[in-house]
Amino acid sequence: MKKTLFILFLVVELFAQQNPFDINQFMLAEAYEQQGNYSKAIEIIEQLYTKDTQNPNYFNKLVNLYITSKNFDAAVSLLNSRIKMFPQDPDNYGQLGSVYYMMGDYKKAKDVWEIPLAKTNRNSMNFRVIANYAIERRAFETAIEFLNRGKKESDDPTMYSFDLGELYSLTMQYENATKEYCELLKKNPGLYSTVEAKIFSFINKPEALQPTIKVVSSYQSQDVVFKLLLAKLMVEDKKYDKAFELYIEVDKIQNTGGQLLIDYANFLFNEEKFQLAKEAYEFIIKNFPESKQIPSAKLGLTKTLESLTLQEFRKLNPEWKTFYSTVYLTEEKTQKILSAYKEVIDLYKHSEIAIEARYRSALILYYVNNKPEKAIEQLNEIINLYPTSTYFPKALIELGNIYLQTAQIEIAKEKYLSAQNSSRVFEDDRNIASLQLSKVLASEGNFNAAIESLKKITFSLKNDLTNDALEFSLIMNTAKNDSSNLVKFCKAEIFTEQKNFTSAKSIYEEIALNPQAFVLHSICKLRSAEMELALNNYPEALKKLGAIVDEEEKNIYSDKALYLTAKIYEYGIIDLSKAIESYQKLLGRFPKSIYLDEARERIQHLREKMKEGKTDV
Amino acid sequence: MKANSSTFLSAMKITQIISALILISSFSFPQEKIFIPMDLSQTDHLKAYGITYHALEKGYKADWLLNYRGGSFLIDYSNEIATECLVEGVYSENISLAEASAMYAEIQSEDNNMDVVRLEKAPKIGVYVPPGFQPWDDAVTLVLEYAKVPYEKIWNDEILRGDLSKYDWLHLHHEDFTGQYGKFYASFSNAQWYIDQQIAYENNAKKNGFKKVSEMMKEVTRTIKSYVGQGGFLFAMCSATDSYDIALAAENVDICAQMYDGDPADPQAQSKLDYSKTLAFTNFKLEMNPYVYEYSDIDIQPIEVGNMENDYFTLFEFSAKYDPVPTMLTQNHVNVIRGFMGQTTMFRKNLIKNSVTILAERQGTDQVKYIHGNFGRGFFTFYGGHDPEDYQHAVGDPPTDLNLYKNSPGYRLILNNILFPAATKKKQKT
Repeated sequence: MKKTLFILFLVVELFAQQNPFDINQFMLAEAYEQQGNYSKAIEIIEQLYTKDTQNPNYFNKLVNLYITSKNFDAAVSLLNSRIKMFPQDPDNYGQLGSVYYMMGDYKKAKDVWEIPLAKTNRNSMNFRVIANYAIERRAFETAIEFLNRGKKESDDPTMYSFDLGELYSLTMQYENATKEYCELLKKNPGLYSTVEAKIFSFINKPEALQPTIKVVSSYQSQDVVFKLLLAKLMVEDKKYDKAFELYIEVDKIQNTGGQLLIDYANFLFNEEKFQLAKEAYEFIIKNFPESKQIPSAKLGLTKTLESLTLQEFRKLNPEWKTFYSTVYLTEEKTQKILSAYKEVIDLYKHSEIAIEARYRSALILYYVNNKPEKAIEQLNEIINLYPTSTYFPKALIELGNIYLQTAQIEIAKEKYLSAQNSSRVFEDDRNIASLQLSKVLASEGNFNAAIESLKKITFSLKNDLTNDALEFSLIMNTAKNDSSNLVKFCKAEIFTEQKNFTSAKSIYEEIALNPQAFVLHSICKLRSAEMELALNNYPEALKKLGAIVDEEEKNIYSDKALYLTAKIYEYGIIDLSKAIESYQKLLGRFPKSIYLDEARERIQHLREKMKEGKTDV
Repeated sequence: MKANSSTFLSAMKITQIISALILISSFSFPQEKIFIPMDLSQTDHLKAYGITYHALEKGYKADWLLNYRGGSFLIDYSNEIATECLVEGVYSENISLAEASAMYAEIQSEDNNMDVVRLEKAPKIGVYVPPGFQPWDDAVTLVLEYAKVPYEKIWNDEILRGDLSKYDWLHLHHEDFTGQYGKFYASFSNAQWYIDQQIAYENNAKKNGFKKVSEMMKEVTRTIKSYVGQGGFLFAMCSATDSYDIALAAENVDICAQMYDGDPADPQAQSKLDYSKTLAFTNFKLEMNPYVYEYSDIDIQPIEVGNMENDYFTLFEFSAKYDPVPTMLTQNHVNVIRGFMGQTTMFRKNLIKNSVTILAERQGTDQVKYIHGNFGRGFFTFYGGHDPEDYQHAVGDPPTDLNLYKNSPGYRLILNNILFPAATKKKQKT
């Protein structure tokens, strides 16, 4: 509203000295123009202009009307007469050139635009004015030429460089655009942020990054800002190691005490470039021992080392199998992580961060190093000292797991119960405790209590463990009447959890051979094959799985058996053709299997691998 | 229904005459057939087209069973195709020769509005897209990628140097053939993608020897029309439909405002339009205001569509035996389909030429979704809207994941069009 009033005020001011009749006529012409009746509008404005040739409103309106109605000859004539009246005004030449350009006479347009740029009319600003007319007509090459000439003539080439940079990037001449910006930066390093923003506005366009890197590299020796710019461009190019080298140089020259490097190291960690992130954190710790960034660097290093170690740990273990004997890492491999966590524990005593560090140390000690005693020690510290911590129930569950897996069932049961009843326990943790507890109770033949424990999970269908709980619940409810076999089965499940695959296998085999064992013999056949797989007996596993597959609908696990067969060929025996064949069989024989999507995905993946001639997966 | 495709009809009557028995004896059947039902039992309608396309590519014979269980496919049995069905999640049945015979007999019965169309050859597909284009910018390329149907990208350079003759099927999507860059000026003139697009078109025009983009687009439009006239198949969606016809009508007049081609539009542009040159539309009124995001009054405005909950269009039913072309184009497992918007959403009925067949419309309104016609020896199909499974697809919206729409009836209409040239190719040669 304010804007409208202001414009109205301006219009009134402009016409304040004019005859009211002329003002009305002018407005009438505008109304005709809006209706598209250009001839009427022109007729009126021509009369007004004849009466007052000095009036810029009449002149501008008339030129625009001639152009809009495509009466270019009249526009040329009018502009020529205006040039005679005001020969020094570059805008008149700009407009006249534009009209010739619209008429398709590009040479004449250029000639007219050259007039105010001639040496006799020298005024460096004219180059920008005329270049803008060329840009309006989208004659970018002509505009670039004018701006380059203007830059030479001008005392302040900066604004020309910015204009040129924009035009070069617009016309996809990225090398020239970068040169223009680099020259600006060379003269005034204080323009770094602006130049960086300008360059980063186009580097993501096709074929822009490499020419930009090439140009910035050639300016590297000129100033540290070019190294910084180049480092950022290297990151864009995913050449993280080169960027790291450049950041080290920049950090040294700018004396930032490692701040730049810690930012980069954190970036690398988030990008999951753990090896380089580790090098970066180590570099900071070694070279800036007095820096304020050291705690942050140490924490970053610990997280990075943990990620690297877990990557290595996962590679060593066949996670494609349902069950397997874990290959552990030596304590030497995890020593740095554990020391780093120890440092955190000592530094921030009794804090939640320290408790978390202790909890994570325990997990590494048990699951990665197989050091149950040391893990128990850490977990007991949490239980004894921090009963109000959120890690208290988590520690109880992990203690339960360790005791269960080391065959100390009674203590395990006690720990799970405590976790389940803890007032600090989160729902997900309580579900884990309940599931584990039900397994223990069932192995003791206490099925009702086990089912009750499972109900705590199945109460909500949104839980991650609901499916497992339902499946176990179903087995117990169905096989409850055959309690002796059910107890055997549950004991075998505990053996499996303890990675005592040989003992588990003999129980599974016994139940599998018993046709009276109703539902249990089906699952035990599968488990028996899975135990062979865990013990790396691939031929025996394939034989047992094949027998399950042949049972088809008589065994509810026949699709899973075929899926496992394919997995053995894919990852165990590494016969990709057979793997594909097995996945295809799964698609054909079990069209309602839950493994269909994964089977399809694996077929596509393996076909690609075979096309590339690769055998690894 | 406005007209029959008479040229094609006479050719297709051969199929009508052939009885099931003759069909069986005239083709050397292998032992079994793969039957791909396209009714509600189908698990992935979209990939079923891809399977059929690949079967044709590999030289297998395929029949399109019009109106039989949603427009099913019957392909010569091969382990390769059966496996592909399994891998791609397409429901199929292996049937015996006797079962196939019974199926043909049922289809050929005079009591049933069904017919068999032999698919001869996998058509070569060209998609008109600018460089830097991503498949998710366009529903057709999105579904072709999903169904794994191969296609080649072509743009102005290829069209202007005469490459269209290499393709059996040409698809145009939301490109603007009038040279007004989609009339996005008011909303997006400062957006980087708009600026880049304008520069790319201008450079392309310069490279091809044109002073203005609009002039180049007129030549492109003329070349495409000539391709259709010589027997090509043109399928256009969204704004490629009306902008293409407008460009044809405005062949001899400048309709582009200054911000689009550097000089003003002809003030008399409307009266200088030549409707005789268009394929589908007539008597339309141009929207000459460069700031209004619309080309003409052909397109139905959102306010006319009303509540999106009520936006459904209905496919017409045609006689399979007497009107096979529109029947092929309207094969679907449902006949009422959810509407979807686009830069051009639907076409105003009274502006469609009488020679054009209406395939689908919003019942009880003047809003037409899907049309088909012929020009010279070729055919064209126009389908309004941008993405059948994204009601209001806006600039910058994420692509539709077709894994979630395996049974999309809206997308099926697009795929009917790619198999349509496969059915007619043999007739063309005769």
